Amino acid sequence: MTGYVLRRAALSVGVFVVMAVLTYLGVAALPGDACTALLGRFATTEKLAQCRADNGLDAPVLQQLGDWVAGLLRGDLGYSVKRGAPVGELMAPRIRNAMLLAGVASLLAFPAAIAVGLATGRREQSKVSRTVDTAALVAMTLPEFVTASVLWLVLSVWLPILPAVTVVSSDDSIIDLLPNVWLPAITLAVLVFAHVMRSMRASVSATSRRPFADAARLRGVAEATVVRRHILPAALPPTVNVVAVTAAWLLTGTFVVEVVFNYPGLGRLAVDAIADRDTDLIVALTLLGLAVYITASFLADAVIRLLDPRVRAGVGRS
Amino acid sequence: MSGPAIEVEGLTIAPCGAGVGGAVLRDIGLRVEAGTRLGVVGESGSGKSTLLRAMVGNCGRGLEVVAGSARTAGHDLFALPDGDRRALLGTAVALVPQSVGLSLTPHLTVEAQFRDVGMGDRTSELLDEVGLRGESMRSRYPHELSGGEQQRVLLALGLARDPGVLLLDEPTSALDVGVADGILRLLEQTQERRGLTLVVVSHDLGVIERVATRVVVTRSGAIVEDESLEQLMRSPRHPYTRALLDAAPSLGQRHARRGNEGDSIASTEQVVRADALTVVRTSAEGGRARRASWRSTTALDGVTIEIRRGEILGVIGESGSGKSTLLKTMCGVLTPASGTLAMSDGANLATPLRKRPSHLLRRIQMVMQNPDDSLNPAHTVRRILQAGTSHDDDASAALLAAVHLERSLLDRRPGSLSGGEKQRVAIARALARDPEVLLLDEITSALDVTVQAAVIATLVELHERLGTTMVFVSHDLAVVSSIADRIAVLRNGRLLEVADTARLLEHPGDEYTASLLALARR
Amino acid sequence: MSTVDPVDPVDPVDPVDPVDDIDARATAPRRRRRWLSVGAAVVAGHVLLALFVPLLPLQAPTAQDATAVLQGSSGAHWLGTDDLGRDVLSRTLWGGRPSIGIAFGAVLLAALLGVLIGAAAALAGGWLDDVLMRVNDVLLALPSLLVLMLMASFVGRQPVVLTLTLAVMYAPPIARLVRGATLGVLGRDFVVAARLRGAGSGEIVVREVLPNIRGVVITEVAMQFSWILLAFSSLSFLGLGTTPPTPEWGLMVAGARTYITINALPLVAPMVMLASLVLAVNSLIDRSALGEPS
Repeated sequence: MTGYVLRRAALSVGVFVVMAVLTYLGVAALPGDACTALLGRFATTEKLAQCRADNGLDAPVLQQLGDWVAGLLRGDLGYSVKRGAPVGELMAPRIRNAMLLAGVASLLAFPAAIAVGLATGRREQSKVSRTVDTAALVAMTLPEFVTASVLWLVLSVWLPILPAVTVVSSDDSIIDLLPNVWLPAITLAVLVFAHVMRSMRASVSATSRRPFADAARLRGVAEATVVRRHILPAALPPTVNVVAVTAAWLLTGTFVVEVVFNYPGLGRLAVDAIADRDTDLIVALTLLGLAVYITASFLADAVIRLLDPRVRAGVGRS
Repeated sequence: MSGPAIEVEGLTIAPCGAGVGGAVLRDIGLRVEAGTRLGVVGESGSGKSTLLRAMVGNCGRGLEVVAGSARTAGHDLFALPDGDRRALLGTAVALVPQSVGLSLTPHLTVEAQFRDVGMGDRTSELLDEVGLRGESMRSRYPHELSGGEQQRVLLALGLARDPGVLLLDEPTSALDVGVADGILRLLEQTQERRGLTLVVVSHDLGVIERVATRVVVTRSGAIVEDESLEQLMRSPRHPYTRALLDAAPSLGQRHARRGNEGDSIASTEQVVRADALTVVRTSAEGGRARRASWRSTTALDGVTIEIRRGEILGVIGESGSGKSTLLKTMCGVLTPASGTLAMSDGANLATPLRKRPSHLLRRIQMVMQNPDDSLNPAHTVRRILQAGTSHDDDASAALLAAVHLERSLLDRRPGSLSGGEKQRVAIARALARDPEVLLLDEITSALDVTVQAAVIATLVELHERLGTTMVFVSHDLAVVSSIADRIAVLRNGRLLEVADTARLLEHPGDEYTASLLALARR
Repeated sequence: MSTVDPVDPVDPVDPVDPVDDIDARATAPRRRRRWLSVGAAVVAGHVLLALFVPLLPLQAPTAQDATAVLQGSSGAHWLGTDDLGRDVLSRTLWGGRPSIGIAFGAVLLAALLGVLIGAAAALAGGWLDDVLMRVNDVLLALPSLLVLMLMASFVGRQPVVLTLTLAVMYAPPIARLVRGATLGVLGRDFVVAARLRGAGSGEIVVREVLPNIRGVVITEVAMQFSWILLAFSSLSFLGLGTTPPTPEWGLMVAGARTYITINALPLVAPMVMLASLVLAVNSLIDRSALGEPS
């Protein structure tokens, strides 16, 4: 197991480094830069040149890349032209907020999704099971801004349980943020629940029909034991993948929900950064997204290996 | 226990909501006395597996009991509440299911599976009883066990709680002859030692002959024969049973049209020759790991053999012997690591399939084992037969006629054909290119015994008419010996011997061949 | 959640033995067919609407009227007006054109790319397969909405740019599926039989493989269509997609949010339209996927 972990880690780091360089070059290659955004459409050429010189944007791209990589190795993520602050400083509180949001959403969604998926998967044909599945399908396929708006309408306007628009800044303490986390977290949780539950349900249903589950029942093994020891570990692997992808999404893909609720997380920051053409910040956010995804993927694989001895042994797929 | 161990009366089982019309089991009645051994034989779809499940009070998904009852160990199973019925499973009656590879939970060790039925501390003892070394087996995972070992573990699990009745569904179907023999011997010993009532289901009459004292024959959901074994073998009452007995060849019995050695058309002219042929196969390991580590086995090791024009050469061996590898190398799917393989005029057969010129391609054609896999389900029979040729419908119809199929099949798709029909279409397809050598890779192994007999008959007829050289690979010595002129014996990639059929049967040159013959004769 | 790729839950190592799967036959086909026809009708309706709405006798969707702002339903305006006095009914009916148009273009392109890449990777194997799949994985790892926002913001919001970006971001799941399905078919004996008769790789893909994977590929393409639709609407919602005053559902929802307490129609109408289309597409996929044991 350790050999596998080390190999995967090394590979992931390698992929990440390559991606980092490519992303930087990619963003730098796009037309326009932070100065055009900062100074607007009617900026004069001299002002643009001045701005670029001030911010080191007039150097050749490869040199900028080199400087950036050098900075990266020192732990310096770059500088935000628009906000006039180092990227690291700007991102830190947002990362904390993002983790709070993702954490709350995860707690709301994952345990429930797996439990409900297990319960409905065992009785796939029942009315309740199919209704839940359809409801989840609806929740999953609606655009996030629709779900967010509907939840906002219901929970904030009609039955005012939760505060609506966040009037907090990103630096507020967690206690202050808490009342404002709920709406975005619930919206995200609904989506995550739908995805994970459906995956679990389909997987449990398919696994229940496999010969070994049947064989266990025919041996007289109690149903609860069959579900717990035979079906669940075999049904989990595909859902583990879904959990990993959705968990990564909770940290990196929440743009729309954060805009709707004005939540000061990474999603909002990304939207603003792109509008401001803040290269360093954009690159840092993209790389964070990649790192999160790679890590989640890696963890998912590790968990699956733990669950399925055949994967550990390297039994090939026929 | 007084009374019969198992008593089934008027049992009819059908898909839920379908009613008697679509019944899977129709008005079944039978009695099994305690301590006896019943064999249930029938072809696929006859309902034998469903009958076995009914004896534990389980219907199978989507099925329901429409009429009748099943009593096992004195309990009317379908009348019991669920809890009570489940309590009987494993304790009064145990079912050992088929497809052993799929019936053991892949992520649980052997010991864990025993713990589930509350017999964790008896694991070693039970494993020893079925001939496995308990101490080393207990912590293994199912995928680490061979087919025979898996079967024994399932048997031990069934016996764990000392049931009085043991039901087995196809206990030897996926196993090599030697391994199967071991399992059957184990069954006999276990039944005697524990005084069990045994019911064994199999499509293989040979297995039933070996194990049962009483036999029930199923066909299309009904019982057509219920006899003692000797009575059945001597003079069966039902014509279907007669057909089953006739269809399965016994060792040494020549196929009617093949005649004896002296009459064979085969000449001594060589058509294909292999010299010191060695083929290495690699299988990918590594599952999810990016870098797969490859395990290579020498599938064929220095095989030297010649194939004579116009003969039927039988190739026999157990799994892993290299017989399929030999065929695949001949047709170019695999390439040799060393040695030569060529046709009599020098055409090199060591070239891989993709690189062979078309005139070489057509000279060697193959029919594969699984008819469900060898025909493209999205194509019509017409397309299958005409692809790559310039044949028109008349030519295709002639091919179909040669394998005793109707012209109307041209418009049908494989999904609507039976296994036997599909296999015959596959043969017709191979013949469409008028090959010099026809390779047949276990073509009857996936078929029911009566269908197998029909396909073999067709094959023999074709051989008579066309004189095509054929290489017939099988694990079934009886079938091979009934049609082949010569037989080659492979084991672990090596050619042990090759000889005329009659001589091989009477005086096998190799000890291994002799043991195979002995097993086939049982 | 336009960035999440729904994962196929069936374990590919041990397929369910079809003989045991009797209840797959026993499920009510009639119920399924009813849903299928409702879904198909809704999708067809949307597509026809998007194509032919210019022919309908509607008020101009961009015509503003400062005197009739945020009015409720009336004889002149069946669904009322929005914050600039524009007719909501007209804008709602026109609102599907940009997203449906771009989504169709993008998904067709993505399907083409996906099939080519997936089939090439499966056929070639070896290093080409590795490289293609690595690139594929990286594209999957990038949050698609982020890349879309980047392209829209930096390069421009022209339909061509957005369509190409969408196609590139949404081809990877199709490529991965096509590769997997193709590998599955390539291992089967009838492909060996085809090679025995001299068929080349191209012919094998077209004649042997494609007819057998058609079902799963179409299902996946339909699924990606709905994700692309959502992505584009989300992009418009964020202000980076369609440029105002062109009506588009996502854009309309964004604009109407602030006025929800005064008049909910400008928010609800486009939401219903978008939701109905996406739900209809997904109901088609879901039901047809259940009915096809490919």
